Amino acid sequence: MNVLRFLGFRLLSMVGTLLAVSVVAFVIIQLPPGDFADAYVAQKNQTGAAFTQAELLNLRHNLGLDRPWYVQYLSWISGIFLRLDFGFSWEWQRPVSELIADRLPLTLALAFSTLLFMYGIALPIGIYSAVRQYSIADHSFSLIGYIGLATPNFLLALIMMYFGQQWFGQSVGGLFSPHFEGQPFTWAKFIDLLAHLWVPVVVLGTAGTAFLVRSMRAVLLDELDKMYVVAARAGGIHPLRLLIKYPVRLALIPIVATLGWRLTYVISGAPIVGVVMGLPDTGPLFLKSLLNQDMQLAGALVFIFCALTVIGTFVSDILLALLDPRIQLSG
Amino acid sequence: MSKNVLGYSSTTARSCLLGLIFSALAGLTLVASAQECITVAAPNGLTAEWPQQLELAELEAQTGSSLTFSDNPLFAQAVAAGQLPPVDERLPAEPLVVIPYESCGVYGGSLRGTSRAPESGTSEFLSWRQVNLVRMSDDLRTIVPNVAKSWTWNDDLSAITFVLREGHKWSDGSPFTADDVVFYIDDLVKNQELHGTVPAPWLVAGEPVVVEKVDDLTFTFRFAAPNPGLLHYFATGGSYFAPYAPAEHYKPYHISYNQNADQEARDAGFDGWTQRFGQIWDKWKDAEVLTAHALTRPTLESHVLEIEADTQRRVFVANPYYFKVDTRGQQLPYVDRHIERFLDPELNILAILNGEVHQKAQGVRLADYPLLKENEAAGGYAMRLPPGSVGSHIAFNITHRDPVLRQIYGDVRFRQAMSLAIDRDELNETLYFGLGTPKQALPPKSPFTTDADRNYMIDFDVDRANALLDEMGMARGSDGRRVRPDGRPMQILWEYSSQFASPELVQLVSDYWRDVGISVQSREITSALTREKAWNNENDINMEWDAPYEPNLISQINYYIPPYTDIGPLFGVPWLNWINSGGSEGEKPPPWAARMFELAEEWRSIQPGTERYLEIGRELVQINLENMTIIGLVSNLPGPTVVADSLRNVTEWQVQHFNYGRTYPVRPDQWYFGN
Amino acid sequence: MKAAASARFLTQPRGRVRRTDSATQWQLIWWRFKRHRIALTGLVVLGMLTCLGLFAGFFAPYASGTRNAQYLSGPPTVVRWSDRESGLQLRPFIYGRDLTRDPVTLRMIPTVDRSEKWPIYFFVRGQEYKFWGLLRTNIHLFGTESETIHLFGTDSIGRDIFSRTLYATRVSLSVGAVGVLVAFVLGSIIGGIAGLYGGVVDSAIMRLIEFIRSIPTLPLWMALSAAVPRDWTPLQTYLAITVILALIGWTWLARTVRSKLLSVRHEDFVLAARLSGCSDARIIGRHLLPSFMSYLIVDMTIAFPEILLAETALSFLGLGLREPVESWGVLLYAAQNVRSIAHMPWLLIPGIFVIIAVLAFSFVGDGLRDAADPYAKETSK
Repeated sequence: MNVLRFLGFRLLSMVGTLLAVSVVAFVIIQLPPGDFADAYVAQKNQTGAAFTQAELLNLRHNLGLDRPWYVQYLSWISGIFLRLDFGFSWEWQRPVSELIADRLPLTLALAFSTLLFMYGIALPIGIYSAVRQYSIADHSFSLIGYIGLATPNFLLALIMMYFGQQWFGQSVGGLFSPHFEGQPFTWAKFIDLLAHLWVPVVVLGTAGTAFLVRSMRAVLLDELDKMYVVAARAGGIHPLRLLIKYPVRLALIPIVATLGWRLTYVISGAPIVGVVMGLPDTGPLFLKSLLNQDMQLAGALVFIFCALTVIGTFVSDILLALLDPRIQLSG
Repeated sequence: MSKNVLGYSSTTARSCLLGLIFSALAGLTLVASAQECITVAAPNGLTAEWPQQLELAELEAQTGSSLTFSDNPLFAQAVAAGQLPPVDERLPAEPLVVIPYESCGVYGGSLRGTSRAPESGTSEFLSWRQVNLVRMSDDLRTIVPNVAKSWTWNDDLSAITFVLREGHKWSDGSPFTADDVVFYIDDLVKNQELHGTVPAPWLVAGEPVVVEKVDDLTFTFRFAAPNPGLLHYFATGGSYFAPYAPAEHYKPYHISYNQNADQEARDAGFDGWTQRFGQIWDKWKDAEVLTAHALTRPTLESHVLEIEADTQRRVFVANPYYFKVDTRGQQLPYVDRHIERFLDPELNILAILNGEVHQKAQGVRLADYPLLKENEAAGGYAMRLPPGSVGSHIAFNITHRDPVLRQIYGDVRFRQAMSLAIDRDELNETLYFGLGTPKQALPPKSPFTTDADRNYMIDFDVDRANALLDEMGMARGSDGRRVRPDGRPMQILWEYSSQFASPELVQLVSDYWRDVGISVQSREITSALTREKAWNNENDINMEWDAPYEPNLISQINYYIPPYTDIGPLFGVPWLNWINSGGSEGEKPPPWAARMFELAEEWRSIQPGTERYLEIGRELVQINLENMTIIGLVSNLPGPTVVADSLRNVTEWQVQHFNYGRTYPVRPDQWYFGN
Repeated sequence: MKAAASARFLTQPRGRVRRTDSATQWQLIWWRFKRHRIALTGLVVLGMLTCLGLFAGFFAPYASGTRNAQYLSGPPTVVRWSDRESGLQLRPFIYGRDLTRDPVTLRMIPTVDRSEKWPIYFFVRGQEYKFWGLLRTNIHLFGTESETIHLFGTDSIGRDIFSRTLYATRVSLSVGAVGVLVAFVLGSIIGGIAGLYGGVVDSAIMRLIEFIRSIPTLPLWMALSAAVPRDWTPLQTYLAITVILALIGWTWLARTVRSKLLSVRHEDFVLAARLSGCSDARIIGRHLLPSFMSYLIVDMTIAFPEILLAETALSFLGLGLREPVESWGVLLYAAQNVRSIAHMPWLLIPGIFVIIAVLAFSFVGDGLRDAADPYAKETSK
């Protein structure tokens, strides 16, 4: 009963948070001076075309940008809740849901690949570092990890892309080589995808990996010091078997439980990397919509990012509660 | 002869052809056998009325045989299956014959390009495909037939009659006629619900244009006053706005032809018919290819949309009904597909280095030239440096809101001093590899500007600048800064958008001004903000980076008188308001500015090239210079462009300008891939 | 807490009165911290960076914004101690050099002229600068007579990257410091209120924190920094950006303060203080806050790099500080393009400073955490 109440409470507060965030997001997105009509005119002006003030006002009126923000917000949010209609992107001239359907799968694929990469690399290294504490390898891993943590990832992305192009002639600005774009999915295309995917995954994963290695190492060290390990070791159990069977399993609990938070972290870090690398994920779409004040697209993306964040936290809370019976479920 | 009323006598037009096409064999009647490829490089004695192109009848008369048409194998299957008529039935009865620059091409291949976004200023693919009634020829002066076969002005240049090509078809095979022009003017341009007011080129002397259909192939535009700039408008600045639209295609969505259009639009989730119409039709041809609707909308362009834009790319495929052939009778275009990817600037550079871009001019920065040049061989492309824009120029806000600043900026000595304080040579060397020319910002290529004009007060003369400022009474304070009339230290607040200046340019110029005691506080802001401030007369400095070319200036003279542009004025908004309101609003312009408004009004009705035309041009230049309205920095900035080695028939570019949709002359319909 | 901490020192045999018995909490932390060698190194590095930033005018050979029109896009100058003719020398020197534009690619090609040698002098008189905006002086740490010296090369308009990096160090570190400080004040006040009063106030504040955390940071930054009034001076803008960064950063501090308060407010010493008639303010200020101050300092140290990285990320997006203000983020923004990476990699040097600073802060943070945690294991380090 307790669990159900807890779940119900959490779900309700999630919806509340989402709504509140959508209002705030909408307000702050339109806070900067200018609106989409201005951005559109700026773009047009770069073509050198004569755009008159009258045309600008006409455009603003046609897009409904001359209405107060709350009217714009209400018509947009009611669309989401009543018709599951996320609105219309003025810049791309397409329904927002189409654009997101276009881009979200890749965002998620990228996020999950990064998670896989992070955990795949971090757990073995963390275990090794804990077992061989203060060895040269331990020190070098933590140094590399720290540097990964300290390097701004947009910088890393650009540098890796440049050398990827210079050394391997790798195509840029997407996850496929140009000749595979628009082609049906084949084995060769899949290999091509992998060849492109590793760069963003590494860039996105470095900082998180370093963090995970450190947590895994610390938690495992705590476990290794415990009496039962000492006792078991004294009892002559094979060290490796002992390690895998008890301390590692126990140490994994908090690491796995934070999976949801890691996911959130990856998703919120992704836009900048996506922008630098021109990935066909939601990142560039998001930044552009913000800069152009393409309100409904930007709002919908904030809504979705926020939903992912909230869900990620929720999943972590649940995992933590399920895996560690010491934690009490309470509001 | 009537076609050539534009002030350039036929001999001028002919003589410029001489160098391009004529050979010594002009006397021969039969110049070449049929189906032989005649090119600009090897004209074989062919003579043509217009540069690089001629009408079918002209060609057949000179070769003495009729041309047999052939088409792209891409269409063979559809033709064989009966889905597409054979090429003879698809082409107009009078196709336009294009004389290729180097050779008649071979069909096939995909042209790869990039753009920053589906609709923005960096897409060649959109400007390339444009076709309008007429186009500007390679000499950048002569206007030549394109969609229209010919035209005739009336005597006072207030009415023009166009003749279309018989049998010309839209890309879906439906006939293209004068009705499509009438529909454009009467139901789109003049529709009150779509346009609150009739847009600029169609409103002359306050009256909207009147279009008359003479027959299926002939129509007349009538204006309330002479409008000699119209053809220049079509050929340059207005090349994005062809004055026709597929009427039959649009009628079901238009309230005048379908009473239920509004309800249908609402049922489809729109606010009304105008909103839906706005999404499927736009006077901007590039806005029209944003949506999937463009897959069904007929066009006259060389390539039609095949795969609509997602967020990564879009694909165009050759138009089977395109109205041009080469001298061998092969229907253009040669290239099967145009594939355009949407990339950010840095990725665009990497894509070029990687050989993934066949042609690129827009959005390639001069600063990237060394890197691109070094990688030419590896990327399989060649860099070109055609002359480009006028370059960033500066205008002090003479009509500034703040009375003290207005007093300072309004003083011509201040503006002159600021011009003299700038070290343009260093600017050129530091920012532009020394490739530009230090100059005042004047309309390029104009016959009424002299070297003296271009070099007016551009010498780096700190002493003279200081003397002028001293003369104004702006003495230096203890910290070296000059003092304003109200006793406060003078400081310019320079808010610029990256559209017109780089932080480096601003820093250099600020340094120069600081040396004569004028300190500058600079800040980069968005272009929307600069415009807003410009309209409110709050900016100290407003900027522009280009000006229309001379033959096109007639249709865009607003760019050379206050407030210089409508959307981002440099200064003088109150003056314009005063003129427009007949003196009830705004402020009375000073005599020199009033004179500019007068001259511009007269200029609009005068044939380009006439004596009076040149006189007005000269006077406008003089007034601008004497009053130092605009401070030019470094002009003729070349814009680097990329051309793939495999691409053929790409002629040398003489200019890069927004009037021409960027590099020009450009004829992508005759490009093809060689080995 | 003190008892627990000192208990472990009992094992260490000392003469007479043990130092640990009379040591304050801070002394204990410092002693433990000192043994953490990497952390100590981090602290030294931070001290050096701070010094460089504070005395940027002195360490930098050129004033901020100075251009060298003769050395555009120039690579770093190599400082030498020896050459073929005279062998090793005591006074370092640089060779003369020239930059010519390649006629085809237009790229600047540097050539070194070994016939010209320019010794480097120390404490030279150069461009005038104001020492902390007060003292006018023109003494610089080093300089040369004629040929200019650019340790980190120059940018495309000839500004000395070394000098700019030093000035940027000052700005970036102070952005971090002010940001952390604002976050600290906000976090301790709001967290303190939540922890002290508990109940409805507490849960309201916790909901607020959750809410703030679920707003994606990118649009929040963008909107707030775009909303900074445009007629503000660079300095004001810079402060505003700092506060924006802090507005996002206070939440975790508030959480720490709250949970610590909740755990200590029922401790015996609080009860004792209350019984002896201490006011709430005194209890908080004298007893509660010091008891977990060390945690807060650890948290602040760890927060520092986050704010530094956030500043670079904001500047990268063109939303943070902008020219002519110099910060690491602003300098890196200029290096964020393919041509810089390919032709002018020295523009990335400010990035190394970011990495070093973040590393140093992380190490110090780690060291502090170990030192402040009374339950930390006494393992050999």
